[in-house]
Amino acid sequence: MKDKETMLIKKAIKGNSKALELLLQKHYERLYRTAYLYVHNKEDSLDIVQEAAYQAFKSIKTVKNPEYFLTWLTKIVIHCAMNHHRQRKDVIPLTEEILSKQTSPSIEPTYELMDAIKGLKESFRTTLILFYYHDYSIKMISEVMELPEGTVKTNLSRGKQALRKCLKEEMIHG
Amino acid sequence: MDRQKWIKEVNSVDVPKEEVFQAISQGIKQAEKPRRKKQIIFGALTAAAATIIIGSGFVSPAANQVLAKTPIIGELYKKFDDKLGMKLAEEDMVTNLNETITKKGVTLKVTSAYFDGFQVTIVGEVYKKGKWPANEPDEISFDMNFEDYKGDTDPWLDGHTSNFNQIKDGFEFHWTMNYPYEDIKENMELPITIHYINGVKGDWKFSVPVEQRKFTEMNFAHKEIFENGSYIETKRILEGSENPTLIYSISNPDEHDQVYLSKAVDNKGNEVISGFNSQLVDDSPEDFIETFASEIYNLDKEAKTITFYPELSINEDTLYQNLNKSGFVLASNRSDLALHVNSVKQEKDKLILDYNITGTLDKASKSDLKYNLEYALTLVDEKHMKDIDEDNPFPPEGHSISRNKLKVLDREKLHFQSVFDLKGEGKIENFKLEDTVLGINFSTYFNSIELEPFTVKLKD
Repeated sequence: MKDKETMLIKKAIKGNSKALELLLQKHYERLYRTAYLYVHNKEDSLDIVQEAAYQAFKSIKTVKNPEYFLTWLTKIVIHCAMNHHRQRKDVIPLTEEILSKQTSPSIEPTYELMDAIKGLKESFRTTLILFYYHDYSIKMISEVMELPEGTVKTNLSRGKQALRKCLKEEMIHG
Repeated sequence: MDRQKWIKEVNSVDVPKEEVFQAISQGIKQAEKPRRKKQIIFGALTAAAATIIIGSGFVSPAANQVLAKTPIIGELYKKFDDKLGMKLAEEDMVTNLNETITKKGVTLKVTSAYFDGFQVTIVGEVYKKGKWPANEPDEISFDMNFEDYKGDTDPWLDGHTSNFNQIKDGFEFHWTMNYPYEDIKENMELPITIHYINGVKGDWKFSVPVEQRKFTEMNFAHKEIFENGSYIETKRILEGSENPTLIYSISNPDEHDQVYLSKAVDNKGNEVISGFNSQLVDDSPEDFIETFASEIYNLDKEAKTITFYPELSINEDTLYQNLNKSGFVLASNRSDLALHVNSVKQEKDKLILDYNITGTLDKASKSDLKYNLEYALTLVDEKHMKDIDEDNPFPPEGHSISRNKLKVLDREKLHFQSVFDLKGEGKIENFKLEDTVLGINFSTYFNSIELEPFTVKLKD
């Protein structure tokens, strides 16, 4: 970790909001894309980033070692994304009606893997995101998800299987 | 599965930099101001059970469409994104007050209130023509007391949060107070006195009749004891919030054999609890018992039973070996896995370890090895081994290295080379090969074991 970032982290832990803002800005792509992996749209992803920034400021004091900053931040954004995802799932049933009201044709590029993980169980999806996108070891995933390593491993291998199955089906039907 | 493909695909997602920066700054700004807590609170479970919803700001267009249907009475709750308030307003379960008091040119309008069994929420508006004597133009503060309390000794002010929106000539406000008593009085009237509003001294007095929302505790006691001495005890289900909440405890006297709940399914086949979403609410250090609260989702109204799926996670302590020998084996005690070190070499600032992993590993674990071994091996200065104990399981800073660069020498034979940078981020002061210990923990590769599910009856 670069010294400048460590210094910023230390400042942020002491409650300096500007330092935290700079840190979050530094990782803005990772924050946004992690959120996007859960909700697949800009508005909700921004919403999650905002919530994550809120939570980060509220709990930055719990970071004991600057080295764990990024892991800690990842944990926050993942939790925000999952909570958000669940709430939205509760609140908005995506009905035909809503879909048909979207007049502009979809200009989103197709995302093969991201579409495939959409259908997976939450715990599988999070494990896969942390493993592939964040390049986390099983140990780190276990820390972020607060699960025993054995479970992470099981989730990972089952998640991979499920994903493979989804991808295959897509290739056949898609 | 190809990691590069993942990264390429995720990185192809366009990031609206400006808007992300704005979201970051908004989030921090909101955190700097006091903000309401979630409405649903189970006594000491507060923080744990909280799913925090951001006030105003980003609401997706789809969500707006749903929110738009909320009737007018729920309008203020909607503005503060208070979903429970909106729901209760829709069900006609909030108390409408519409009481207006004007003192010293400041008009206070208390619109409505509700009590969910844990917190009292009050919403309203405050107006004044012209400038306020105190605060920034976009801020408002109230100095107030509840019942006959005075100053800071008021128990209602503990955990009192207030949120506001600026409107023409004033503000809309949303207050929540934790209900401070154990017993809930029927037909409660809560007298409130406001002494100052934004620096204007006055005497705004009003009383809020607070209807209690039905809140019931359903007995759901069951204790399932497992062979290793662990048990899961389901206790009760709290109803009254949006989703019912299950309270359960897990006792794990042996830290190497941990039972946990992986999921729960009702007899209609709905997954109603995921262990992952359980919140730890009590973890007293005197025993091995952890108590959790878990929201129950999608429970079928007709469901008669819930079946719980426990799993057992086994693990073992980190194994250590001094590097004074060049060839040695570190063998797991709870599996057939072993690390066979073929050679240890020091070349200037690099320590090079050549080794094989043997034992039963499934295909996925084998391919994970190459990602995990970079973190799984630790070098520790032998003199500082005493610093690692139960309370402080982390290798001591300045006296240990926990990362290495990995090379796969033979994928089939699980033959690897790890290169530790002795002058890298983590380092060992005064490094001497013969005073250094290598550590590995195989627990990562132990599969958790599915235990026999058990079923608990729901009382009607």
